[in-house]
Amino acid sequence: MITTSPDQPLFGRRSIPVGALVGATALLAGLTATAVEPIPKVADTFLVNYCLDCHDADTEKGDLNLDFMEIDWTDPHAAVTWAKVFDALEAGDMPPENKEQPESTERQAMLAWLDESLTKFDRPGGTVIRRLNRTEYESSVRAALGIPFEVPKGFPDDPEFHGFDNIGEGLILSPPLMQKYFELAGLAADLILPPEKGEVTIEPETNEILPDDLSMAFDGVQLRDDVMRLVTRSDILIRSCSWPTRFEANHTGTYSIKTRLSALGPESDTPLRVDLLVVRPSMTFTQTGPLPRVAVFEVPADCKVHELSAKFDLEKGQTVSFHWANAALGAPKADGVEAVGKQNRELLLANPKLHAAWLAVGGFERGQPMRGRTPNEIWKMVKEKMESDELDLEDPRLEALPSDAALGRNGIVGVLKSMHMERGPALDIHSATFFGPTELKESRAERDQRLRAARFLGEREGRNDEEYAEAILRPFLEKAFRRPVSKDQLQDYLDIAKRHWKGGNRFEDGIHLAIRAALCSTNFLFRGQREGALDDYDLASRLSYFLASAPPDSRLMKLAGEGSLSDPDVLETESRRLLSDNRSRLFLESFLGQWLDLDLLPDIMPDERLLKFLPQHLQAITEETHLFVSEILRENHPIETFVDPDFTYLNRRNAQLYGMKVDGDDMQRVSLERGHRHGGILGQASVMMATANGVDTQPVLRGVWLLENIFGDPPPEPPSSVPGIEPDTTGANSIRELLDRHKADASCAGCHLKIDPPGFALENFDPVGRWREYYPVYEKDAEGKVITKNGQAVDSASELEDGTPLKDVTDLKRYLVANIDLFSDCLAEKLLVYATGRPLSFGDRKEVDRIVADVKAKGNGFQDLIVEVVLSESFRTK
Amino acid sequence: MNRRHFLRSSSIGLALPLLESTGFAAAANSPPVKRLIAIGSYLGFHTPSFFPKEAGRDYTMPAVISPLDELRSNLTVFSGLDHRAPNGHKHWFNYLTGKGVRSVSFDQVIARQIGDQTRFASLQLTCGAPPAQGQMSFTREGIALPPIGRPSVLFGKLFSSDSDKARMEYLLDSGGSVLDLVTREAKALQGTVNARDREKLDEYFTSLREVEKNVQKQRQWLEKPSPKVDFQPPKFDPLAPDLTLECETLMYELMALALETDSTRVISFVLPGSGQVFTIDGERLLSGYHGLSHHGNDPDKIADFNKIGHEHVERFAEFLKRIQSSKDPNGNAILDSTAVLYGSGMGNANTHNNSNLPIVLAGGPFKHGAHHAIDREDGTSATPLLGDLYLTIMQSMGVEADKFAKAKRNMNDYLL
Repeated sequence: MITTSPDQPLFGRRSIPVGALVGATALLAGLTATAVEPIPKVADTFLVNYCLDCHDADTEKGDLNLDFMEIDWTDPHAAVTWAKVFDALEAGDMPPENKEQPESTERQAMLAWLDESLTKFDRPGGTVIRRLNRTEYESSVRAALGIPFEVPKGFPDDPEFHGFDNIGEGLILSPPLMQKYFELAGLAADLILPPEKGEVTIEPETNEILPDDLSMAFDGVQLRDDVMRLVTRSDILIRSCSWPTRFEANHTGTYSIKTRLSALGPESDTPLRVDLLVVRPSMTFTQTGPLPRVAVFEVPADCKVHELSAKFDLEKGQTVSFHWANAALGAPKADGVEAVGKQNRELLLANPKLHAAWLAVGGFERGQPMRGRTPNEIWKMVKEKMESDELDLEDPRLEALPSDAALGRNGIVGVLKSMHMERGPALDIHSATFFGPTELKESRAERDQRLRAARFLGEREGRNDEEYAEAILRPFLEKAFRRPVSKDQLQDYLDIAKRHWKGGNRFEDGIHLAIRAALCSTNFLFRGQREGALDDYDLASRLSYFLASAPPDSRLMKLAGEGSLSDPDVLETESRRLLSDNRSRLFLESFLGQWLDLDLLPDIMPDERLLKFLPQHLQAITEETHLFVSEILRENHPIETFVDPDFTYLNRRNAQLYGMKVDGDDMQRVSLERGHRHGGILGQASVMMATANGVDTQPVLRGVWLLENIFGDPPPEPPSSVPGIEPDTTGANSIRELLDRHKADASCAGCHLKIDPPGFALENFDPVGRWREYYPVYEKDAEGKVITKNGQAVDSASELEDGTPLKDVTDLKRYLVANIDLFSDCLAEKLLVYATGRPLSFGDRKEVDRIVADVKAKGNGFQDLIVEVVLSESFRTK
Repeated sequence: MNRRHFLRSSSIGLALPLLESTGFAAAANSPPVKRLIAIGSYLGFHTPSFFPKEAGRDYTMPAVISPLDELRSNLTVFSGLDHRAPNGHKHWFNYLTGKGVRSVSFDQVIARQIGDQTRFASLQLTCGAPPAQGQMSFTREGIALPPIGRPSVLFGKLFSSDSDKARMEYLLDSGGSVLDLVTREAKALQGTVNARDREKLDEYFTSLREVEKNVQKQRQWLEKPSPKVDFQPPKFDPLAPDLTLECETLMYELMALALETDSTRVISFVLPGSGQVFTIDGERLLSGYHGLSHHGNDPDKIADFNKIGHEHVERFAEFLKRIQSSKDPNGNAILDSTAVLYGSGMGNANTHNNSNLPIVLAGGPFKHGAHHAIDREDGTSATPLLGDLYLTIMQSMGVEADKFAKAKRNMNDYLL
């Protein structure tokens, strides 16, 4: 978020930076209307009596100077300043308790004057022309050209402003970004009309891959005895497969492989089946099957090295991975825990020594005695037992194995892998030699491009170049500019194509050039260029980018063309249509990602070992919130549902975080009692994780987050001179003791009495959203392994500024449901800011109040709220 | 009327070239610094293992940075420096900017000063995919400059082939009519919008002008043949996350080539870190890189984290030795006219703390050889900030600046 630099005063007349001055002058010069209003006597007296002691030009407490005789309302900052004064007076935050207080009538009179002036001068509207942000740019290029298109990695990102990345003021256009727009316009045009290719001759190359140039994977694939050894058949790439890290196809074409493979310690005569699967070397760790298979090898179970070969086509950038399809270990994930359990049962029954040793080290005992040890270390312990004379093969417990489900989750899996890795059964890769391309093929990309070009250009049908070009460019420009193009506009684009042909270039090159120009044009890159009430086309764009993160579709364009979109009934129908469409998923992703900060989740990287949090958990908790909000939207549930629902979506992963039990990896709708700890956005792991840092929790950060995003009452930036309180991980001082300093210091108390209490209410949620009663302390056991113990008790009780006592988060939710307008207001403001791309004016905020009241009267449905936002004057004004 | 005149500053801080000159008298008789390399490790180092125990010149080189021992007369180690800025991964990016808000990074201030002398005003590099929040270089508008993570892409950019050039030449030449058309359209639009929108359009015009300048510059450089180097990049980019260290070696090699061919004089380089599990000296580490950085004070994890730190520093030391042995056209070691900043915006990854950053400055005309332990508790106003070090570097390169972010002095007393 861009905020005022601490070096610069927010208000006041001291040291104005040069840049700001230039900006302000330009601003003022452009406005001809004079709206300089004197401050009336009653307000002036109020200011002198209750405000100017601190907020005059000399003291400027909080960088706020109110020492004026008149207000120039053409200065946009005037409205911001006086709206702030209005808020502080209305909330009773000012004057501070220890200063003289105005009579209630005086306060009312002052508020009445501010309300009147602000309503008059700070009208709804005022969005600065909005550059397309990254997502909008991508979807707009896709729509204009009918191509799949994503900006490359390393495209500059959009600064966040007022909490969102689609706010006119925040969407700065910088030279490097413009440079990218130029380059990408060319690349996008290339996807339809590529440059002519000369004849190329490619010499096939030989690539010899030795075992240490193959990828490894934790405990499933390891470099042992100078070979790459595979022991599992899991369908998670990184757990079972191995592929060359230094070979990828340089061209699309035919390649051959010669590889030397052998079996280690096979337990039967069945040949080892090895699949060659197509992968890309840059694939991620957690990629799961099914992958295209290009060859199958059978390796005889005779421990001899066999040379096997195959021939297949690869696309440029692909390579192949070895996958031992009939390995004994690691049932495919899709088969579920029980299948793994069944497999473990068979393997244990087939090996009584292993079974007895596993019993002897306590492998089946509750409380996970093996916790904190690596599978290899555990295997060493087990092996010692297996080889010891004391091994009791008559142990009666050998008769009773746990259930399949329990066995599937048991740590024996890791031990089996280590055992197989050491003595087999395993597959050994000795080498692989690739040769190619022996023949070039049309790549999928080339084929797609050929089809796209045919669709984009259409048939020439005997027309001359200019007529043909016009037939191609008119619909393209209308899609790109999201409104009809004038004759002159079209002619401009035809002209540059014509001049280009004259220079000896192909017909396609002229079109290519016109496409490049259109994608760099202000008509493409900026939206909302017309003043006042939005016309039908601008309305179509605002609506579509709001609810579909994309330019208007043909139906919206048609309605805009007929001039009927601005009809409230049509607008409502269209809003509900977009919301019921699949595309609204993009809206939810973008809006929730920014409002609830879910966008931060992929980068938080909690410690897997200390917090027992896997990528699968992350997927589940993110999906939970999406499905949850999707249902509220789809079913038009009341806004209260966000806070205190009677349902959520779980699979076994996030259920486990919540101490609940759900089977399987598919998300299921689960009923909850109202008031449940984990119900709603103040209990879901996604939000709890996004408001922590993957390591510990800080009540101040969560408190600030709640004020900004739930209560709609953001605190001011912390003063730059005060260092934050450093988290203490040793457990010597409780966070409560550390933060009590806030209460003691008057300069902190002003804000922290608001911030800290709701923050403390969330302290029961650990950094990944589990419920906890104690803070963890990490200690070492006798062998130096880290173990987790209960440290200090979590103290989540607090008292809100208005005196409401909170026991924990459930009280906070109760409070919020009882005062739901606080949350509805905040949510409506966020929606309106996101939709209009501007910080709200005073007039906009009055519209929000009206919207919230109207929606409440109709049952407070969330879908209704969005529709009311769309129908509001604020949404429909530039 | 004056007493109560309403004036207000813009709420967006713009970084502007500073007008006041401070002069850089002390550097008058040293060779001027011509180049800046700024390197930052995303996950940082275990600073208790990075900082020497003793201050001054007779310090013992700690194990993590031991590869720097033979270069100690060419470098200075700092402890206790930071920007007094907020914490967390998301504030990592103030490493070179010094501010919590997005603003210009000092390498880009320098690139503006000296960038037009070379084919590339500056280069931003990393290994593989850049960490989402590990941006390091920011334009004057506060926009992050995305780094190049593929060695082959960087090699192609620096030493491009003739066929690449032909297409580029075509795009640059034909781009002229694109610029004309969109400028005309924007001018027409300018007449119809309000004052604040005109300001936005000014961003567009300014950017177009920069693109146009860039086109001309690229056009000129296209005429000159790309430098030829006796180096072939491997056929395959080591992009897999656990090959990051190998990618790092290659990137240093290419950085040295870029300096030796005078293709650029300003480079920033982010050493990324995510969950990858490294194998070092044939031994697989306990945990992923990020997990190790949150070591929870577990000595085993710290030891493994330090192994990675040592690997980074080893590569850095090799790079310094390389540019120490290669000469500029005047026969002087490149290192002697290159300021090389090495460190991290992360002071302590375990607590996500951005104070007391690990910092090494090598090369250039500076007085090296010591470990300066800055006493952070020594009052607030007299303690130098990391920005003060940047001011000394900027001034040594002819940038007339006397403040940067929160810093208002310099560290000339330590270095000149």
